[in-house]
Parts: sequence; structure tokens; C-alpha cells
Amino acid sequence: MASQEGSSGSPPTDSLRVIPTRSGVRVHLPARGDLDGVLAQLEARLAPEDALRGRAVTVDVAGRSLDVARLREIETLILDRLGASLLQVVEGRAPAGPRPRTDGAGPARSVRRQGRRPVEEPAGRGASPSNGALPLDMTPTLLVRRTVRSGQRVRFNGHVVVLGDVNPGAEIVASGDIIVMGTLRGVAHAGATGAPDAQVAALRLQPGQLRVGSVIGRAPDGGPQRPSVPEVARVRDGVLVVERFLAPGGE
Amino acid sequence: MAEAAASTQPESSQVIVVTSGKGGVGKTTTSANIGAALASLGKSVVLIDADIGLRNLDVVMGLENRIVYHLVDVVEGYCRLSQALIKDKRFDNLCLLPAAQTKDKTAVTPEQMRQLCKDLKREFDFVLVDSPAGIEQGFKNAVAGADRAIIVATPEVSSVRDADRIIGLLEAESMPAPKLVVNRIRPAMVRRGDMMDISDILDILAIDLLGVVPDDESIVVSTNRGEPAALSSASRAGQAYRNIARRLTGEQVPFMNLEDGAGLFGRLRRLFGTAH
Ligand SMILES: Nc1ncnc2c1ncn2[C@@H]1O[C@H](COP(=O)(O)OP(=O)(O)OP(=O)(O)O)[C@@H](O)[C@H]1O
Ligand SMILES: [Mg+2]
Repeated sequence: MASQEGSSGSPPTDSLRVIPTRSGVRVHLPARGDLDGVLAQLEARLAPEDALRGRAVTVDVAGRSLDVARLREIETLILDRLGASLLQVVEGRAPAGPRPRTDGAGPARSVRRQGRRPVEEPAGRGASPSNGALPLDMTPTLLVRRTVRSGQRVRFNGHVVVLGDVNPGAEIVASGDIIVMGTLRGVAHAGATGAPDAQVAALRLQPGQLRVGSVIGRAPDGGPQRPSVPEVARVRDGVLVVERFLAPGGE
Repeated sequence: MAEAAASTQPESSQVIVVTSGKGGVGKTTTSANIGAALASLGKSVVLIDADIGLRNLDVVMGLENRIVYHLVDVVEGYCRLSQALIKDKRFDNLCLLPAAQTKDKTAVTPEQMRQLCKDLKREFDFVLVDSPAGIEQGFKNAVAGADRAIIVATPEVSSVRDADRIIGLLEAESMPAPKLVVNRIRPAMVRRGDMMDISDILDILAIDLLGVVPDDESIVVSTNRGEPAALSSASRAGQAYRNIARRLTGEQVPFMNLEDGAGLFGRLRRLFGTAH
């Protein structure tokens, strides 16, 4: 891992910090200074070690207000050039004093499609409106209206719903749940930033490998079984369990 | 292609790339046999060997001794396109544009391939491009000028997975969904459950089936003789390729009964009926 200075709870500082987490790293950008320079510094530090490949990365922008173009730049750097699987950007804490507005015009909060909640916060599952009516899950959800084929990867900070199959050699990584309205034969990783209550459901659940949070399960040797009913995989007592999908309340 | 409309280009003229991802599954065999079968149906056909550096379509066609110029000579302007085209021994309406043996795949750009295919499309009903294995530059060149694609896969997990990868990559091009040729099927093994069957493959790839070619010794014999099996009436694989050629011309040809056939046709019907 690149650098292990500091601890995650520390206040924003003026230097770039990279802190290892269970599923990847958390990057704290310095609260002040030219962002181009900071990103170049980050790339120079992490690219040679290939430390982010396949990992989940949280970028704490330390209260900087970034526009969409800037967020795209961070996305390209972390996901495409450094090869991370999952990115989330959190606003973090601005240092005391006037808020720095060095980058772009408006705040991106309203246009950003990926969630901006910090990792530590619960996924929002069952978060109910204060009037105590229906429990609604407001986590951002990505709808994939196609079959995901070998070599294709979907990464999303939120839930992922696939209206099609996920073929062998394809990979879905989500910080929330994964639901496949078809046959799941590829790799699915739900709760990729650590949510232990994430789940993977499919009309036909035949994955080569399944991960929920940090728990990994693989198909028994001799090939996956071929269930004929919708199933769901969850972690129970640290073990990945697959069971018939039943609508909540019907159990 | 607005400007082509005014030319002599036949109405149904099309550029078809034959590709697979995985190597050695029968792209060259398929290109040669479909080409020969289309020619025997009276269509004018040119085969482009896009496997630069590893050419062998000329050998399968039995034309290796006639090569003077090749594809790279054409794009580099050392010769005219017409000088590099080799006429087939058997059919006047069948030509081959051979690959260079000495150059490598970077000797040609996708833009040059696009232009080349466009030029050939004016002269021929079918332009068939034999793609190299892989998904790198050679593949990109081969698909650059294509209107549609034929995917060749064998009934093996690795081949099907590579085919799936290729289908995904082609989705990014603005091309209609490719068609599938399953090659080297062995009905006895399928019957014993030792080989993936057609419905397993279609279940994953979810594209239309263009043909099923049996594993057949006559392919080896005909390849060594430089005489495509499609031209031999006794060859079962040849029959399958002739059927594929007829389907490409728009004819409805029922799927061949592969010995055990029981259920194959029925299963395909059901799959087509419910295909998305
Ligand atoms: N249906 C078949 N039955 C028996 N042998 C076959 C069949 N199809 C192909 N072969 C044999 O398989 C080998 C590979 O075929 P071919 O050269 O056509 O594959 P390819 O996909 O073009 O390979 P490459 O990726 O190297 O270009 C050849 O020896 C060929 O004779
Ligand atoms: Mg070949």
C-alpha cells in the first residue's frame, strides 16, 4: 500500500493522505491547493504500485466544492487509469475558515448520480420517512437494460438492477444490492464497500463466484447448480447463504 | 453510405466479418467455405485475409502459389487493388485478397480497412473478412469496414466465453446483432452429455443461429488439398456450409439433422419462438 500516514478520523490537512481500508483505500485530498497538482501527485504515487486495481476507493474532497467536470476527472483517474472497481466521493469536512472555492462554479451535489454518503453511514436500507409510513430505500440504483457480457464490468455506488443476464466473465460490483432479472453466471460483488446486509438476488442464481461484503463464495466444483426458482444470497453469521427468494413479509 | 448509392454497387452488397475471439475455432475454414458456397450460388465474392502476418486463407483456398501482391501492398499504394486480387481456380466470380506474410498487424489502420471494404463493396455482392484471433489491433482492423459479423464458436466453455466477449465489443459498433456459427459439434458427445449442446450455447450468447457445422474429417482433407469442403457434395460439413451460404442470401433453410437430430430442430424452434 502506498502510504499509511495518519488515521482516518483526523481533521483535514494540507497534504494528500492515502489510508488503507478493508476493501481498498480512502484518499484524503488536501483542503487547499491546486487540484490538478494534487491529482497528478496522487497518480504518481499510486500508479507504479497498481495498488488500487480492483479495490474500492473513497475520495474525501475535504469540503472542496467540485463541479461535474472535476468529478469526471477524478472518476477517470481512479476507475480507468488506476483500475479501481468502485469509487465514491465524499464531501468530508472543510477546514475552519472560509470555504475554499477554487474549483469550478457550482457545487456538484445536485447533478452527481453516484451517492455521496460516507462509507460509515448505513446504506439507507429501511430508512423510513419520519411519519413512520412505508420503509423506503432511497439508495441510488442503476438500471442496466441489457445482458452484461464477458469482459464487461458494471461498477456502481448504490444498487444495481440488471434486466438481462450476467454472463460468465462479466462482473457487477455494487456498494448495495445486486438484482438480476435473468441468469447470473458471472461474478457479482454486493456490498463492495463493506455493507454486511447487502444481498444478491437473481431469477436464476448460477454465479461462478459471489461476494457479499468481504465474504466470498464460489460455485461448488463440478459446475454451478441450476436452480429453477429465484434465489437470494446473503451473509448470515459470517457465511454466505443462498436461499429461495421470498418477498419480505411472506416468510 | 450515401455516396455508394450512385455507384454500380449491387443492392444487397455487404461486408461480413468472420470472427471469434478465440483462435483455431474455424474462422478461416468458415470464411473459405462460405465464400466458395456463395460463389457456387452465382454470387460475386471477395475474401479478405485480414490475418496479417499469419496468412492461411490462401492455403485453404489452394491459391498460395498465385500470390504476387497483398493487402498491405494495396493500402501502401505499391499496387492497384485489382492487381492484388487473385481469381479462384474454380469460380470466376470468387476472388481472394491475401494477407502479407512478412508484415505485422500494425501495418494497416482501421481507416484503411474501411476504405478498402468500401472499394470492394462496389464490385462484389459479398465481401468476407477473415479476422485474426484476439481482440487487439488485428480484430479492430477486421471489423472496421464490416456491415455485419458472423461469430464462430466451438462447443467449449472458453470459446463461448470469447464469443460473448466479441459480441459485447461489437455492440459498441453500430452493427446489427451478429449471427452465430457453431463449428465442430460432435453429436455423439452431445448425446452423452460430454459436450455443450446448441441450446446451452444459445442460452448464453442470445444471438441468432446461422448454422451448425459438424466436426468432420473431410475438413482436414479438403484443407490440405486447397479445395473447400463446401464444393464436395459428400461432405457433411460442406453441406452445412452450403446451407449457411443460402441463409446469407435470405433463403429459409431448415437446420440439418445432425444424426441424433432428435429434438435439435424442435429445440431451436422453441428458442427462436421465445428469443428476445
Ligand atoms: N468442422 C471441422 N471439422 C474438423 N476440423 C475442423 C473443422 N473446422 C476447423 N477445423 C480444423 O481446425 C483447425 C483450425 O481451423 P481454422 O484455421 O479455420 O481456425 P481459425 O479460427 O481460422 O484459426 P486462427 O485463429 O489461427 O486463425 C484447422 O486445422 C481446421 O482444419
Ligand atoms: Mg484463421
